[in-house]
Amino acid sequence: MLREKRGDVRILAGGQTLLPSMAMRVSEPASVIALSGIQELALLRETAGAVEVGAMVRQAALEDALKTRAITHPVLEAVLPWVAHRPIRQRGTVCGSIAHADPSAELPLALIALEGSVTVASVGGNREIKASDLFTGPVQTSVLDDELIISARFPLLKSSDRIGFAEFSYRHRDFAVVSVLVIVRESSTIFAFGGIDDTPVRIEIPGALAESDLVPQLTTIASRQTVRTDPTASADFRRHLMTRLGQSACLQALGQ
Amino acid sequence: MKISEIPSSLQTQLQPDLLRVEDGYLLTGKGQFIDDLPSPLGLLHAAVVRSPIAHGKITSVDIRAASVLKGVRTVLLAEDVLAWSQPFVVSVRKTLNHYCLAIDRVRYVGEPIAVVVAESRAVAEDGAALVEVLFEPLNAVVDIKEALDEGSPLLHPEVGSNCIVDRSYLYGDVDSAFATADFVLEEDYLYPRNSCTPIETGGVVAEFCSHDGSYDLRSNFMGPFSLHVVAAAALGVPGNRLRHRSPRDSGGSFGVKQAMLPYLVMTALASRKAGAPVKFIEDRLEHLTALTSATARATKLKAAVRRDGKILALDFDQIEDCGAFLRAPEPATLYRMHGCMTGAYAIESLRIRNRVVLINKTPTGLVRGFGGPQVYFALEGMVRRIAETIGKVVPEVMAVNFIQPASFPYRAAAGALYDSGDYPAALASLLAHPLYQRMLEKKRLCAQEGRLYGIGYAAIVEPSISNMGYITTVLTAAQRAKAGPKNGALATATVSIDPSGAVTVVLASAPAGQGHQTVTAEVVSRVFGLDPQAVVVNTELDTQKDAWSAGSGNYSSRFAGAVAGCAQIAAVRLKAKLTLYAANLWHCRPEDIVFEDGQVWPLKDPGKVMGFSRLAGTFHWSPALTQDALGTEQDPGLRETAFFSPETLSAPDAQDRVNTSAAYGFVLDVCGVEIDIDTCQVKVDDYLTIHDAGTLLNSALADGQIYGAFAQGIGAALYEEFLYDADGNFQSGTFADYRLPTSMEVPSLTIVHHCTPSPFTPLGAKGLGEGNNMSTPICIANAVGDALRRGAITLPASPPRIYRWLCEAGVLATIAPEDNGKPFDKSSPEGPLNASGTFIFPVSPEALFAVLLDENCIKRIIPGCESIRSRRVEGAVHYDCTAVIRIGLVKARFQANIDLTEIIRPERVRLSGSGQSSLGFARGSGLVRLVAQGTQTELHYEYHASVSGKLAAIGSRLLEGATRLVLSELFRSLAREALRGEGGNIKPTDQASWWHRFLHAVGLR
Repeated sequence: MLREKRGDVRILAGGQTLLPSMAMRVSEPASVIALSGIQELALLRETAGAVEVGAMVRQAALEDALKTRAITHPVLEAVLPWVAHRPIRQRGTVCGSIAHADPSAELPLALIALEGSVTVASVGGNREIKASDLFTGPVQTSVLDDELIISARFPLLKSSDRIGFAEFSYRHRDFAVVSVLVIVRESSTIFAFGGIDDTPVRIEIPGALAESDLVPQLTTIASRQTVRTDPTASADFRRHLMTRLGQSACLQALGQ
Repeated sequence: MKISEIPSSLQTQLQPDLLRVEDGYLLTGKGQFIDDLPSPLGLLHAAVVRSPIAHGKITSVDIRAASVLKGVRTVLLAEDVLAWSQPFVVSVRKTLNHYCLAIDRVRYVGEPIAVVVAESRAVAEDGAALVEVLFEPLNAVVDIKEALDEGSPLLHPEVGSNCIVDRSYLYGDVDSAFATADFVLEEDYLYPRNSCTPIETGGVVAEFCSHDGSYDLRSNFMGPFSLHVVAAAALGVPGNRLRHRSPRDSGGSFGVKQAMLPYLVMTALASRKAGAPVKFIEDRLEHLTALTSATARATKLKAAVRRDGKILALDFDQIEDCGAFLRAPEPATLYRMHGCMTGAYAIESLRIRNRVVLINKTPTGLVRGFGGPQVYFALEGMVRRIAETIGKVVPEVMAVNFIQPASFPYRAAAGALYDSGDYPAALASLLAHPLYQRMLEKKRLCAQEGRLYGIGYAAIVEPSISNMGYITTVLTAAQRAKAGPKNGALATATVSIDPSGAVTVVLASAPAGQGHQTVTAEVVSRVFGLDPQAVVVNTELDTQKDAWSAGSGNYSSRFAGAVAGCAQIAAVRLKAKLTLYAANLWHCRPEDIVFEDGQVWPLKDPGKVMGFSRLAGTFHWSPALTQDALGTEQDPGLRETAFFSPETLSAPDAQDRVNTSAAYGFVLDVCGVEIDIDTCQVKVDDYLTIHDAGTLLNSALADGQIYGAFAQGIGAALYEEFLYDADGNFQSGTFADYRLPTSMEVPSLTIVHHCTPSPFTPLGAKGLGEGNNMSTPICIANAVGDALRRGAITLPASPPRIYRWLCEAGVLATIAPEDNGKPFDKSSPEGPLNASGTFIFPVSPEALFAVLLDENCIKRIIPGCESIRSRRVEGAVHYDCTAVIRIGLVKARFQANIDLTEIIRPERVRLSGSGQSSLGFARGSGLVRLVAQGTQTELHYEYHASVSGKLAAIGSRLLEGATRLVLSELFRSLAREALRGEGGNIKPTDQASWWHRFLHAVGLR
């Protein structure tokens, strides 16, 4: 069906973006394919090296699995409470948020930071798309019209990895103006920023992270990175937030 | 009736609060809102075609596609409106071409153009998307001051100016005061557009009755019912042929549902065209975009001040933005405060210049607190400035200037007659309050630690029960004399007792959740000595059957002071009848009859007790008996309709003095805020509000009103703002962009009540529902100003603004971006949709130019181009095309025109175009210059783009990225086409590396 109706069909998973946009008639697909009946897509498991999340796994289900320690993943545990509000997470899916590719969303940020991937299926078979190749623009991905994301893989952290996450929005759980995820490794530090550009951004800086270097390092990143202005915030304000939230996230990580 | 009819004991009596009788049905989902009413037979549904642009001429409206859609019955058009209705009456004696639909010209985004009527709302919306409207866009006036500029585009050429009101007022000897002052202070203030947004949007069900040419309407319109007269006049029918019925419940109105006037007329005409009843329910986007807004106001305020802080004179120069039309009852927002412009202060001399400008934004209206924040933002900002100037704290300046308790009733310079108050007592309780002490302590502490903490104050007078005559202050005394006097505010209520002896009250107050039923039941039951539960209060209003007047409705905090008092008056009259009969029956004096606990008895002979219902029932079952007791002067009917208009509300006098309201409450606020320099957020630490609203009728409901107004005040102070871009495109059409605070954002509030009963209202009560809408934004602005040591603050004090102020103050330093060579990374200062840059192409200018002039190449270049036609005229090429733009979930089919002009081959060309889709209107213009550099070509471009309509209203956050995406694709296709032409001349390896660099530069992979 995806292949037949190329571009005029939409996938309905949690519907937290699709349904409002259909209600506002900015999205008027001829057909909607609901995935909720496909048992296989509700798969949620920890495999060797990654947490694998099927297309129908609701954000709340993952959040609960993390809470009960059925699954362990500090990055997902840190970002999930920041994904909208709990009633929205009850419906919204992890893969749906990734497929939508909002530049300020937390789950695409986590996927980019962890160098995760998604598996897409089409009539021609499955293929894997690396996070770095997935997000191509604001709400744009490299998933083709006849393809469907069936799962996302979030690689596990190493035991020595320490993380920090900080986000700023105008109201409780609004779209992030800027979000920062930091993974401190033994030999490098990964900074991932959401909300600053058309896609989430991952920057890996070699060497150990020293607390005294934080401010200059973040200032350098903020000045080098492409940062956008939109009616909600100027690029200057976003750069300021990158350094302040970055410090907060790094201090969390270093404090662990 | 006079207030003297009411026993004084009832005026100040406080009772234990009754729980809200409304909550039972509201909380169990049994509310009766407009959309819940049973549908009339054959009901059709309306969807409105609206303007996507801020200003333009309508060149054509094509309804062919919409008309043939299955389920569409008819489309209401401008020509129908011209045939069947009149322009809305304007209060300033000027005729504006203002109908319920745009005629020939659109003047704001969201302005209704046509109404599609269909068998369901969904089909109606499908039909609305098929109506093709073509425009000739005009430049928009978006800024309040720009409206006055010579050469600004005119919204109403027939009026000759965008300034529709310019009046000056002088009270007292202002010049001498300024000449003798120790200080003259001057400051500019700008209060922004915002609103209060009800959960339930506007809704109308209309039916044209062809047999007698009348209209039967039901809607959640809130009044003032003076607008019923305006609607009837627009429809060309006498008032009795415009029946309006209000359902029992309305999901919040906050002033904004007054602005439904055009919807009433529009839906009525849609029903006439369709020959069937029509329902229109506004959606959230329509509500935020196009219903109404508070006015924005630019004020220059000058104060003449004595060394001790005493204000000798004020000089206000106010410019009011009323949007695209002056819609009745505007300029009410500007004039509601006219009599009390001097606020809580005894200031003898006052000069005011009032100008009203019309600009390309949604027409304004009454938004809870209307007029208050606009005035107090300037006045209380000035009080802070005075304190800073003379080195005192704000409470000291207030104390020097407050009207003293012995002066009441106090006549303010511009004519307000303040009923009662004790402002120094309220100030004393503020100064002594532990919360205030904590703020002072925290300020000391933060100063030591270098934290940014500020204390803000606001002392405001809260007018309630508007004098309808105040709006006529906009006219000159001569014009007023010609038009006839307008004054007062007639409230009404009807109390009846049925044959079973049960009491029913009918109100014309059109409540929206405030608890009018509860309070009225309390007030009336107290008169009869009944349990409040025994009294039924009906708040539906039918203009053909119920008592109402021009002053009816739910506005200017008139319930407690006027309507509840009216119910009391009617009940007291009925009780007098009952008393007369009982006294006759028991042979005692009327004053010896006791009504208590549902029983009636003679004071001196309690054994002769009779149930209230039996006594009252006698009037129905034995009218001859009761008639004997009443004598010939009164009939035995047990139904009393009382009307009440405060005696003090007279028309403006010859010197333009006007008592704008009947009662004047007092609110004194203080708050402490801390500014987080990491997030640039304002954190409201503590907030204390001291209220004097006279007698409180129900203190729980009073506190509920104060909390609600406070939450909206927090919104106005820190979060909410209607955003427009420089072209007048509306950018905050959802609650994601129009940021209402949630319970997580509203800080806790401490309320203190004082009580100086009003001598001018039946129950001694004053309105209190709007006070914090007036005080809270100002109190917080003053606290932020104090924390930042900054003068006028722009609201909302949102983090991006705080960030800018902290940078200006040198607290924060901006991080300069490094030039990374990517052309799309440079945002122009004029806004994100303006940009310029350079690309290098490995082909000759001629080759590039050839691509632009080739229809087939252009078809491949324009993203999503489905069809194209070209036309060549002298020195220009014109393309008509259809293109489907897809970005994420959004898909829009644009009909576009692209013009290539200023062609100097192969050096430069101007590309301009516009495209229209059901999601909005996009236009842009760019200059492309080609410079040969050896075998390569440098392409320099600069463009300005503008996106309007739904896309801009709901997607402003992603608009720039989306525009960039479309442009990147366009440049990529251009490069591909150019290479296709000359590719053979370039080595494949060079081509590949160039291509890689190019894609990196345009941000595509």
